[in-house]
Amino acid sequence: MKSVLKAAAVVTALVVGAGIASANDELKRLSADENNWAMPTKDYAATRYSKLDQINKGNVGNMQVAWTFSTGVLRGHEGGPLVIGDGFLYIHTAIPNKVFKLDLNNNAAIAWAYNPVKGGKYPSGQAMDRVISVMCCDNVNRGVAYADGKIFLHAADTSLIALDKNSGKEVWVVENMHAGKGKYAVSASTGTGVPFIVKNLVMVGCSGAEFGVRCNWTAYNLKNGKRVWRAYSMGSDKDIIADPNKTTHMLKPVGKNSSTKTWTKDQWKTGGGSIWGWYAWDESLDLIYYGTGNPSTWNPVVRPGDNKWSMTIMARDPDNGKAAWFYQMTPYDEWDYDGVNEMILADVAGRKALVHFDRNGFAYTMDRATGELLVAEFYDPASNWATHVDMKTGRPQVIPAKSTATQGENVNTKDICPAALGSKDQQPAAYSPLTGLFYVPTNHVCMDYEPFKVDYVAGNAYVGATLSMFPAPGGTHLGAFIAWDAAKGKIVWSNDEPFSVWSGVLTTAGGIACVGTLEGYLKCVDQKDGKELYNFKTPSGIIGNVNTWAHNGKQYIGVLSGVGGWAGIGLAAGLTDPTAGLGAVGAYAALSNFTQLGGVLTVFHLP
Amino acid sequence: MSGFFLLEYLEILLKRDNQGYRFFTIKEMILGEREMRIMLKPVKKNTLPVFVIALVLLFGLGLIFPLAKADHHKKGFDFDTKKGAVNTSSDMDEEGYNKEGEPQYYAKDNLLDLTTFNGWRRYHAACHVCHGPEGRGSSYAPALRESLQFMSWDDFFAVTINGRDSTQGAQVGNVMPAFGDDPNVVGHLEDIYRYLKSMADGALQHPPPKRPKKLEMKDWPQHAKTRFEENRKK
Repeated sequence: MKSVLKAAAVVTALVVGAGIASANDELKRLSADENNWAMPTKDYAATRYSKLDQINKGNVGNMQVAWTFSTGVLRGHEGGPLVIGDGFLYIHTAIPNKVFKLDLNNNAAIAWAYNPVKGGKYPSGQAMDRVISVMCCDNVNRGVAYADGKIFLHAADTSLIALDKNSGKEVWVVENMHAGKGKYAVSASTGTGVPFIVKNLVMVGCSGAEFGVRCNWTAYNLKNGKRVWRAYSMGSDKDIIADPNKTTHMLKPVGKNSSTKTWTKDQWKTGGGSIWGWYAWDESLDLIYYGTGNPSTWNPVVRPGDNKWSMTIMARDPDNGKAAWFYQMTPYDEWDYDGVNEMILADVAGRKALVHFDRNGFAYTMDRATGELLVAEFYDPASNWATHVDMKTGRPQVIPAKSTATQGENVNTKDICPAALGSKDQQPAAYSPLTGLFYVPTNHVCMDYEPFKVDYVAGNAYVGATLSMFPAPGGTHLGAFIAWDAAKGKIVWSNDEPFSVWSGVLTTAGGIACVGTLEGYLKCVDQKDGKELYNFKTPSGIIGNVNTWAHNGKQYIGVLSGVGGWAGIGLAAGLTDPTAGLGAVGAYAALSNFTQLGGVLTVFHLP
Repeated sequence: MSGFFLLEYLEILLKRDNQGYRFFTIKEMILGEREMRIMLKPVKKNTLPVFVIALVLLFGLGLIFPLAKADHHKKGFDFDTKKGAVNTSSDMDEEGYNKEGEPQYYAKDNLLDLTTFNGWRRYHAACHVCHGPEGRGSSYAPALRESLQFMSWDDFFAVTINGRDSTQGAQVGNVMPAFGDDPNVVGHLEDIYRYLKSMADGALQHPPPKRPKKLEMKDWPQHAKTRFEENRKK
């Protein structure tokens, strides 16, 4: 009897296993089809590179708008559209996080529209306005993902929602982070990052480090929404799924309690370490890669210690979360340099590398199998909080004058570069195998930072520092679009921009690199030297990603406009306020002088 | 406006904040419902409440409305032409309030008294991530340096403590969180108001990246000197 059951179990497993394997096989196949943009990062290596070359540097100057679509939502629109080859395009919005399916065979007519907010409430029961009130940095969402006939949305209330791609109806919904208790019966945790699908799992991160939430990365079965594993960013070895002997940091085992022993008392319980950037998977190594954010609070004086594993690149086994290696980029953060930015996998100088442009101003090149540190150099020359990264220990050598903890509470530490929003925030860079270079949208902003004592009250912001942000000294530009050599750790070319460049980049086999600006321009440049080949002013500032696809033999480039995000508090420097009567130098104007709100998808083609 | 309003009922909430100040709210009907908050001049703990006397006076119809309204609908400073700037608020008592009980500042060019400087600090910790640097606004929150030309202290206080969402007149999708339970904000709200008002009036000029600086202590108004002494004792 037992053997029959066993056999039945094996057969079932094979059948089910085969079914599940094919869900991811389908996604891999769709992603390999260059006509598609089947996952938010284009591919599992997060290259944001397309082999399409119908639009190329010879003819991109002739691009025209093919069609446009207003999302009907204001506030910041990050992320970009998904095209999976079924004749439709899938696009998401800022809160309330609508999803639209547009018919590419019918002039982008709306096939279905989904709104997770019903009667003013999200699926978790939280009121939309309440969720908005705990979004630290605008109502953004970075997009949907596809697998197995389902469109996955990670909504602002942390609901992970699986929609049937044909009908737009909910197949299953889970609430990723539990609601709080008592007076604060709603969680201060929110969701903004894309769902990440590997094999039979859909995985999401978590937001809320400004609210004292202890964040984590969670994997769910994509068929039924059952939780499979969860790895916290800080806590016991079990919580962080680390093996003291096998998980390494800088090629050495991390040892027991590698996280908790680097926090004072119970501070790790409100530790932060949010995860909301962009992720990658190396199939042959079978490792997923993501980065964790800042430790809570912004006042470092109350949390002495390295605060592991905040600010860390994590490499994990997707089946069970077991950590292969960690690399902490900013131990004992004193500046809010979240480590969440994209992980780009590429061959660099003969190594299977991972390249990461961090908020802290360093561009890291790592061996993605072992976590060996190969290169760590500033990708904005203005950066000044550390002299360099010690390549043996991996520790940045902090300059005491820029150390907000050393200077102390209630002392203003001046002129720290980069500012808290980093040399680059979440806006993802792209890689081009044509040049072997990385194309990076950067910020060029510095800050004064003064920590002070703050009380933690659940559900409220737990920040604890006074911030002043301003352009890096010596210039008036607030951003630059650069090309970066990750083997040498050097900038190859750099185009200044008046505002931070807050958009995700596209590179193509046509030799172009395209990015959006905060005033709303879509710009395409020559990958080789950065020469501008095309620009077009879209309806609103761009913080979305530039994607490309082909439909019926024609290539399209699409970008989501809708100013906002943390860039929404941007300032223009050195630009004359026309009514002020002041000189050009030193005149400042708010971003709202240059662009207004409005979520719009603009799609371009060659006429 | 031939306004005639009925005092619907008086609701006295004998609250004290953490500095011992009393305040109460009055609900009235003026051709519709209206709630007002009036921050009375602070009184020391355990003394006979002066507010009782004030209450009697305030019962008079037509007294409350002009008091509460003050002159906030008159725009003084013009951001474009820089005309109409006041140098400082001169109508200030020893505790740092004017007759209407609104917190007052002393500011000149790029210099602030201690309490207003504290407001700059607290604003750039708690508020600027949405409301932008120097109260200049963002794509999703208003420029408070301009709002305070039209918004009274009572309203500023009420909105910050209670929050405001799209059911209460904010733009759809814009939500002002409630900070009433946040000790890092509530205890400093007067100073934050002082800072924003100093810009709304054109008294404080500090274009970025110039930070404001503290005036020399000898030039501080009395309430700032008192605050300094209290801080030193802590």
